[in-house]
Amino acid sequence: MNQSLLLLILFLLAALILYLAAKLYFLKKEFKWLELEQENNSQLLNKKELKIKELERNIKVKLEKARNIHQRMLPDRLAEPADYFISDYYQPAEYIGGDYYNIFKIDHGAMDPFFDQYLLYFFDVSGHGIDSTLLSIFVNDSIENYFKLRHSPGEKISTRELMNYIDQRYQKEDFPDDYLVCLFIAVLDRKKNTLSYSSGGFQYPIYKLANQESLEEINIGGLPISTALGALKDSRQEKTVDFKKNTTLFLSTDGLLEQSSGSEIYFQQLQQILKKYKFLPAPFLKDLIRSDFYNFTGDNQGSDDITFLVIDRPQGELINLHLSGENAEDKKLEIMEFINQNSWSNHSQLGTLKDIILSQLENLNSELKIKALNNQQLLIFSLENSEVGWESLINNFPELTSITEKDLNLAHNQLEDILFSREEIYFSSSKDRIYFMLLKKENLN
Amino acid sequence: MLELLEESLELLVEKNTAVLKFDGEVIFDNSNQLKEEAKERLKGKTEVDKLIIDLSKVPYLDSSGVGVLLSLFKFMRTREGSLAIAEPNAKIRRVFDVTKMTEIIPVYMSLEEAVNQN
Repeated sequence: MNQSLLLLILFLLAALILYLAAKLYFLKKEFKWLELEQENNSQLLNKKELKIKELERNIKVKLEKARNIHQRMLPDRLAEPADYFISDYYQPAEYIGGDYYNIFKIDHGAMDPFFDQYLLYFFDVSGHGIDSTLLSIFVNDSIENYFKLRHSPGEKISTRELMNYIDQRYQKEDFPDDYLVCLFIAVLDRKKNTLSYSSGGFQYPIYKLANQESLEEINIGGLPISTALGALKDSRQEKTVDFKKNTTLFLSTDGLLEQSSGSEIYFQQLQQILKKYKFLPAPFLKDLIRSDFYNFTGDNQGSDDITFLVIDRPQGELINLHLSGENAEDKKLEIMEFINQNSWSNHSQLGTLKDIILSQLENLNSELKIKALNNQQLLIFSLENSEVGWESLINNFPELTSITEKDLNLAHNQLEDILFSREEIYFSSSKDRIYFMLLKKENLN
Repeated sequence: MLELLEESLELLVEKNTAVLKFDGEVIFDNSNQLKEEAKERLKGKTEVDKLIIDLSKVPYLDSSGVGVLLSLFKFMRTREGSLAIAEPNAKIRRVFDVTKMTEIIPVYMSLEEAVNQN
């Protein structure tokens, strides 16, 4: 009995050991399988992560390429009529912008002496992706085509017709119905001194500043170009504003004006700046607005393109000279005569300004364009040379003052006006052009 | 993303009228998803021939947001229906006034007024 029980117990123990051994074997196998699976999953995860990073890199590279294409599309230089100063500012959105602008002289061929017109336009297409760059190319191409195929030299230009032409072409392309184009097209007529324009889609106004008058807000508005709306032949009428001497126009897409900081939007602050500093010529007003805008936004750089144009038709005596090797000596005399006018002879900074201009004339190795304005308030000199940078000149004359530096004071105390002194020479520079400004009176604002 | 969309878009349907309520900014970042989601939900409601977009909870629309409204305007026109906007804030109302979109899409100051219009 005892032996049988012992055998039974031994048998059960053996069975249990076998069972446990088998279980251990399968558990180990399962563990190994899980380990393998985990390794596979981890490898898969790493692969997926690498793939995502590669796609992100790819998108970034493509967006960067599209952004470069868009930047290259922007004109190197805007056509500037002899008695105007025109300044532009463009800062693209984080990825790619949908803003574009241009000014060019309209070709009237043999009829040119009877017409002196410039086409001015700016537009904003919705979105900021590659699509918006393609749309920008389309709008530019449409304008170019209009002048190649539809407009004959000497023929009157209707901005309404041009707008209709672009709209009809846009409808034919059947762009997606959630895309839209906000467009402003104008003809600057120097014979009539007017700006005739048609517009669609912009919610903010443009501004006209005339020294003797208050700031004039011109609501350009109108319906945007969109396939959801279809072609709108009679909706965007042509309107005209006078462009007399001593007038400045400020034009902008919505990005600048609708930028917010806390509960404020820049639209309101800009109006104050334009009222106070409308005496400033275009390049200096541009510098001031640019600095003031970035003071306003602080770290919040916004997600839209920032585009604006300042078009200034000043009053006063203007000279436009093109100095090349052959005519340089004669032109230098003309320039010195312009500087030495009696009205400025007592100005404390005139000597330094003369030194600056002379330093450029004496070392003239390439063509130089000079534009200068003299009126009761200001003396402005603009030097333009595509081969020489202006950095060394600015370094050689440390007494020069940039309005962008001045404006830093505004950030500390926005209630106080920026004071402009006749004891300073102000400068503003772009890629191939530099401007100098002397004030005849203190605090013109 | 789907959860975010569900929070920022609501569709209420009664007979032939649908009220589409956006909640939050309608801008470049979310405009495409909102447009697609709105159209998807409307596709199943073939009886709807009057769409009202309630903007009472939308503080801001950028040009992409305007694009969404125009796209829905075309969507409703294709099904021979109508689109109206209700309760835009002063800033959005200004966009509609200045761009003359009010000539094409009626804008009402209250949802009730929009619903009661034939």
